[in-house]
Amino acid sequence: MPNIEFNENTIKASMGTFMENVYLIVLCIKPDGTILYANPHFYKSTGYSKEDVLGKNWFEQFVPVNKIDTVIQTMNAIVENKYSMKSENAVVKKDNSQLIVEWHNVPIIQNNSVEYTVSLGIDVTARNEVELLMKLNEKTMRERAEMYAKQNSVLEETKIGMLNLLEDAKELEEALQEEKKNVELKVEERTKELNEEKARLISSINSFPSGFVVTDEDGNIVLTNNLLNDIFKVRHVEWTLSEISGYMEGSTDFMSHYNKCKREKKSVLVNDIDLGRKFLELYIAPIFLSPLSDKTIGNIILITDITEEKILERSKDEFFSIASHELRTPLTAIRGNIELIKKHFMSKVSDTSFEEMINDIGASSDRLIELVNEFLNMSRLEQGKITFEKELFSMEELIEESIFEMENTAAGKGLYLKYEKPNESLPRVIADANRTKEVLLNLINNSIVYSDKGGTTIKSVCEDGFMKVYVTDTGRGILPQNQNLLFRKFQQANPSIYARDASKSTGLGLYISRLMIEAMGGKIYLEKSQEGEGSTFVFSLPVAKP
Amino acid sequence: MEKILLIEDEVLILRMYEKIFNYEGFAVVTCENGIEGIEKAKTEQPSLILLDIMMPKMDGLRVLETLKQEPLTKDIPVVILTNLSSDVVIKDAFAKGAAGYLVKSEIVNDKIVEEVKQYIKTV
Repeated sequence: MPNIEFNENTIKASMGTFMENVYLIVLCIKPDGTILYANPHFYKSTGYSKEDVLGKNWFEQFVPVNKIDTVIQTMNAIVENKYSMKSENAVVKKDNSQLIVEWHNVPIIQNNSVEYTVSLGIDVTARNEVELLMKLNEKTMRERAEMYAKQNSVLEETKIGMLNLLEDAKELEEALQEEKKNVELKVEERTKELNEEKARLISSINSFPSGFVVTDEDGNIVLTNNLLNDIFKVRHVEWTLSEISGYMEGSTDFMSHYNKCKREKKSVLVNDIDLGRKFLELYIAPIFLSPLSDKTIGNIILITDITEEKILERSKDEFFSIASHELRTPLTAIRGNIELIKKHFMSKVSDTSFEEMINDIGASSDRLIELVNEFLNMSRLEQGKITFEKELFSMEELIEESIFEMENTAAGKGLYLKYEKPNESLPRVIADANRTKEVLLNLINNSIVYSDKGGTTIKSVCEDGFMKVYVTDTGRGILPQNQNLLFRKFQQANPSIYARDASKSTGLGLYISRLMIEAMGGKIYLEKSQEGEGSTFVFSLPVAKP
Repeated sequence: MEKILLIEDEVLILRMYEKIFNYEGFAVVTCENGIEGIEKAKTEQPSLILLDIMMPKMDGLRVLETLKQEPLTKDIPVVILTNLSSDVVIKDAFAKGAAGYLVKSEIVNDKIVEEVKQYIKTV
C-alpha cells in the first residue's frame, strides 16, 4: 500500500471507510424518500438486508404510519432551507418492533438544490426506555413515599397504642400483684383453717368409737385410726386390706363385702361378725367426689366392736327368759294354790276375814301374773320375736266368738254387749286370727272396765280394701289432752301418773294392741271420745282380694 | 280312774298340780326329771303325760322326742305344761308330737283340768 499523506483532502476521501465501519446508522435518502444508501450498522440494527432497503421509499416502508407526516415535513424543511436538522423518530424494524433514533440530517446540495440527505442516526431506544423508566420510577417513588408516610402514621398510631397497652399492662400487673397478695393471704388463712379442720378431723377419727379406715380407689389404705389396732389387739403402723381381711377370716368374707361396695357404689353393712370372743360390725361406704357425682375416690371402712352391746342384748333376752320362767313359776304356784284353797277349803272356814284375805291374795297374784305376761308379750313384740300368721278368716265370726267370751263379764257389771252385724256378708280378712282376737278382747274389756252404765256396740265395715271394726262404749270417755297418749307405753287415761287408774291395768294393753295391729298391716286409733258419753275405738286390717 | 303322769322339776308346782288332779279324781304319778319320767311312762302307762320343758338333765322337748320314738309310750298323749311361751318353742313342741301346749301362768286350775279331760276323751 503506497503511503498516503493524511491531510484534509485525504481524510475527506476516506470518509467512506468511516461510514462503512462506524457504530452509528448512516442513511442517504432522496427528498422523495428513495433510499440511496444505508450503512452496515443500519442493517445490523434493523434486521433488513440491502434488497429490503435500497431503492425503497423511506417514508412509506420504514416509518411508523402515524409518524410519516412528521418525517415528510422534516424532509421538506431540509429541502427548502438547505441546512442540517436534528430530528428524532422511530424506525420500523424487520421484526416490526421499533427503534428510536436521533437523527442528524445533512442535505447534500448540487446546483443549488438538495439532491439527497445524509442522516446520521444514533439509536436512543435504550436511553428513552431509561428515561421512561426514570419517569415511572419517580412516580413509583412518590407513591411509595406517600405509602411510607401513611404507613409511618399508622406505625405511629400503633406505637401510641402499644404504649397505652404497656401502660394498661403495667396497671394490670400491679392489680395482679395486689390480687396475688390477697390470694396468698387467703390461702394462708385457709391453710390454717384446713390444718385446724384436719387436726379436728384426725382427732375425731382417733376418738371415733370404731376402727376407721380410708382407702383410695386402688384399695391402698391411706388412713387408719388407733382403735383399729385395739380391736384386733395388734400394733401395726401400716395396714393393708388383706391384713384386715385376714383378721376376719372364717367369720366373714371381708374382701367380697369390700368388692361389693366398690362394684355397686353402695354402702355395705355386715352385722354380728362373730370372731369367737368378739362381735364386730362392719360398715363399708364409698367416698364420692362430690354429693352430686357418682365418681368415687375410695372407700371408708368402719369396724365397730359390738361385743358389749351383744352382751347387753343377751342379758336383756336372758332377763325376759328369767322373767318368763323364774318369775312366772312361783306366781303360778301361788295362784294355783289359792284357787285350790278357794275351791276345796273355803267352805270349811266360816271366818269372813279369812275369806277376804284369801281372795285378796288371789286377786293380787292374778294381777301380778297378768303384768308379767304383758311385759313379756310387749318385749317380744318390740323385738319382733312374735311371728304373725297370714290366714284368711271371717271377722264376723271372730267378733261373735269374742262377744260370747265377754258376755258374762259385761253382764256382771249390768252392761250390754252387742254386734250390729251387717246384712251382706263381708270379705274375709288376711291376718293372724288369734292376735286379732286378743286385740278385740282387749278393746271390749277396756270398754267394760271404763263403763258403769249402758254397754258396748261393735260394728264392722269394709272400706278401701280394709275391714274396720268399731268398738263403741257408753263409758266415761277420755280427756282430749290424754287422747294422743293412749297408744303409748304405760299410758292410762289419767292425767297424773301417781293417780292410779281405776282399771288397775298395766297400761300396756293398747300399746300391745297397736304393735300387733301394725305388725299385721293395719291401724288402730281412737275414732272419737266425749267425756261422760263414751269412746269409739277402731282397728283396721287388710281384706282378701275378691 | 284315769292316770296322769306329771313330769316337773319344780317341787312346789309338782305338788300343786298333783293336788289339783287328785281333787278332780285322777290318779297322779309324779317325777322330777325327764329321764325318770320316760321310765315311769313305760311302766305306769298313764292316760296322759303333763310335761314341763325347762328341767335339769334332759329338757322336756328331748323327753317328748324320746317318748314319741319309744314304742311303749309313743301313743300316750303328751301335753306340754310350761311357762315358756315363745312361738318357736310352741311350734317345735307340736312338730315333735305334742298333743297340746299349756302355759302355766296363762291358765287357771279349772281350765287345765278341763283341757286334760278333753285330750283324754279325744284319744
